[in-house]
Amino acid sequence: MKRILSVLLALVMLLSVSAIAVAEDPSTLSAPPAKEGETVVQFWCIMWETWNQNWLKTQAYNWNSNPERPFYVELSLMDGDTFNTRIAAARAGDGTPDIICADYASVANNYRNGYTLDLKDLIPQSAWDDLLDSAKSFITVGDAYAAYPWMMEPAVVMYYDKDAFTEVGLDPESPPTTWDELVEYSKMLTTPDRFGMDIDNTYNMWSWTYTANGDYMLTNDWSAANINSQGMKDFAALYRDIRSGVFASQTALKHQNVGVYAVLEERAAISFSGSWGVGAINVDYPEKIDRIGVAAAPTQDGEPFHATSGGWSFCVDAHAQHPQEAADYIYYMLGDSVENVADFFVAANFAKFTTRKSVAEYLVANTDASKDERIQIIQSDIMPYVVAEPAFPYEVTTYVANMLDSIALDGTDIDTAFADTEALINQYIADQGLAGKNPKAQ
Amino acid sequence: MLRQTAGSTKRAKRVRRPTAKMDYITAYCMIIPPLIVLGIFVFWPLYESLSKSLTDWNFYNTTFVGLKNYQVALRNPIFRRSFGNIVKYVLISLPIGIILPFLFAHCVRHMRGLYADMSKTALYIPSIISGVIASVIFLFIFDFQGGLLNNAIRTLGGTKYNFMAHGTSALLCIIFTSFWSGFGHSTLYMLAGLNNIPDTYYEAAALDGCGGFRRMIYITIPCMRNIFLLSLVNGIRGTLMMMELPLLMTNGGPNNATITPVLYIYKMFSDSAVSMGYVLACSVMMMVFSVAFTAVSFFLIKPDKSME
Repeated sequence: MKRILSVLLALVMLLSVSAIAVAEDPSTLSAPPAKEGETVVQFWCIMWETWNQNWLKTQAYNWNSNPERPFYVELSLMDGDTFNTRIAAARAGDGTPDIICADYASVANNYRNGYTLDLKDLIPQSAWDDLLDSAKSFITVGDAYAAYPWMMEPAVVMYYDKDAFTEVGLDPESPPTTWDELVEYSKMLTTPDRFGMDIDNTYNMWSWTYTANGDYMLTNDWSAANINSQGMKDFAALYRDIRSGVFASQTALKHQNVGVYAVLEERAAISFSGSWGVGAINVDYPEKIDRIGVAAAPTQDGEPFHATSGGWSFCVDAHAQHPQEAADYIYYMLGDSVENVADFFVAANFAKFTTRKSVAEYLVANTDASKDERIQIIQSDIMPYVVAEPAFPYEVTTYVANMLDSIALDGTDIDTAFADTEALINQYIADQGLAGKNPKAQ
Repeated sequence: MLRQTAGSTKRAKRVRRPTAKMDYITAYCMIIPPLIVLGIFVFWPLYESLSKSLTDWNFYNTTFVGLKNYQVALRNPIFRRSFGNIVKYVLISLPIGIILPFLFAHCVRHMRGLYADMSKTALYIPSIISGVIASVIFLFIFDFQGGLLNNAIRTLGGTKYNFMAHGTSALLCIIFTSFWSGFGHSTLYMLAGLNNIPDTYYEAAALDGCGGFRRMIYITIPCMRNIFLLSLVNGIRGTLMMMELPLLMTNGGPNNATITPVLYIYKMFSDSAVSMGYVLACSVMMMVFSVAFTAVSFFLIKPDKSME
């Protein structure tokens, strides 16, 4: 009996290993092979949602299926951490691909470090003229266009449970617009099994501190810390109240990337995440589409909230073997056909926003974009006020986030915490030689 | 020397005695392949890391800056804090990670049959679970709202506690998760060491009237010295390299209370605004710290040669 069990167990283990061994690489499933001697453009991109991957694969498949194609495109999709590691290894070994994806915070640094090329003369002028001003500012470094922008997605959108609002007597169509209302509503919405609100303390702080401070955490030329304002101290006081544990958890229930799930899982009545949360609702909780409301995050005085605009772009590597071909493919994917690009935003359930004027007009006129109330709210109440993600090292953000936690969780005096953090940031600027290094200010 | 072959009437064959020189040549020939592999995958990367850490290197451009990266790293409060945290991890987790498996191995040693096999299997299962999965499991257990532990506390009439909101409790949660993951591995090491102690020692001690406690102190522990050193070195190495548990459970927080040097280096590596030279300088310092820690362990424990 023991021998039979041992043999069965060994067979199961062998089968499981075999299954791994024969699993196909999904990123190359649809790609027909390149012809011998054909120019091959290497394209590395991060692997996001399935519908996102499918759009990228479809682009490559359609291009490669054309018998008169001038070159072949080899698409490689990989998860974010693998992408960072592979790119670093490729740069160290001078084996970088032709096209890479980059978030807007990295575009300027990549260009200034000499990692990417100026695309201004490689992509037709019409594609640049069609860009929204905000999108163009994200990829402009001095006189250069360091990438072609793919999409925009504001990093902080407020999601709230309308049923919970109704339950406690609040108007489900009137979410909080000021900090006072946020605290008051959150207290009313808190039950033994649900917090009133949830908030993370990571890159979302770019948006909250920019709105409270009226500016970024560093001066424009990166020569000094820029946090010691009354608005920032008021925000620190608000954060301390939030982290008291009365109406919000002392630690975030969900990371900012997936903050909407705190509301979807009914762990909190109000939470914050990026606009991609709308897509998450449509895909994972379609039965709650009508139940989850969307709004701009509240501010101290009800003025517009300035969310940083996340999003991704495509760059041509500085050591690309085929830079013009790479730029041609980027133009094909993003800068040419309006319908082709619009397909991406339709597939995204309009949870991501186009960077082109013509595509925006097309979506409103020809798709259900105008019918989705949540998207309309984001488009009208959030997108006009977005600001670029900062390009300074993330450690500066960490110092500010730690300062807020120190005030909220350790009881540090606000003025003391601000003075200490300002000194830390200034020391960091001196150590790293950041003064004058803002790539967007040179 | 002459050697008689079995059943042979021929003259015994003269066997040439190997000289010391032949021994040396054979030994060097045998170590050349691993040396080549070490050279490619250890020594050369180490040399490159050391040389690049003296520069402001961003893959395509290199500017010599001397020891500036090291100075900046030593002045960085988060990096310094990470070393303080890792010393706390080591000082708390190592004694527990040696004593408890040692005691548990004693219990398993005297089990027989199916119970012994099932115990060993159950013990080892956490060791094959990756750190990522272990993090998710224990995040669920320690969760404030719906975690198993807080539910148990509430059922018993206590007040829920947010383990991840406070530095000390967050640190202890991570240490416990790490201990759970490595417990089975350490116990099996201890069990192997215990089984290797000759029974004759215990018999002789028993004849001399030694009780169980004295046999433990004067026989078991001295004979297990090498195993303790092995567990200590493995534990130090594993703890110093800890990254995935603090990354997934607390992301180094709250307020850097659980950040480790490797986690800090990983975060710097991912930041496009940070020079790779700085990242390598941090890595070199981490390596020096690890080697020093391990060397001190060897000095204190002083491993014995084989008892045989």
